[in-house]
Amino acid sequence: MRLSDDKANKLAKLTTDLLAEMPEVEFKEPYDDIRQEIRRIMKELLDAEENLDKAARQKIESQRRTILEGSQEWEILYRKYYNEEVKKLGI
Amino acid sequence: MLLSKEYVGYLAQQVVKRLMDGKFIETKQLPTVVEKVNATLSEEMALEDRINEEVRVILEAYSDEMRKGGVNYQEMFKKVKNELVRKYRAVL
Repeated sequence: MRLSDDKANKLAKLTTDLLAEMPEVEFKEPYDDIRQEIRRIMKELLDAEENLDKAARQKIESQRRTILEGSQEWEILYRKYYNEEVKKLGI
Repeated sequence: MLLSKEYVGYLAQQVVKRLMDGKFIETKQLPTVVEKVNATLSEEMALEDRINEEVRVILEAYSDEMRKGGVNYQEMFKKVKNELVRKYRAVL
């Protein structure tokens, strides 16, 4: 997971608080159960996202010549390969 | 932002959908709920970018003094950034 645990926890709490405030949303389970479920879902999806990042990096590394991370060329290729991986998920 | 805008949108959609599938929440306005969750997640994910930008603006104002004093930009960037993280009580 590319986010820190603290950040992921913060996102889960913010999301739970938002849903709790929305009149359009009805909670069917206690607040904490929902917060923990959101945290679990996020962990699963953030772990999956890490695979997109790794796949993009591997594609760059498999190039015949060395492309330095942080260079403009690296950034362009990373975005291109990352977006290709995102499209495979149907996003 | 560490995650792409598209992936944050996907995250928002999946969180709401899975909460509904698991009977944790109910809503008759799924698109509205997803949009609001997406906006909240996107804003929080962009926090570090906003802090970095504020640091750059601050350092630019002091760039002449830093150059004259031989101050290392990277070190000063980290120092000022840590100050702002503390000030905003940000979680990065």
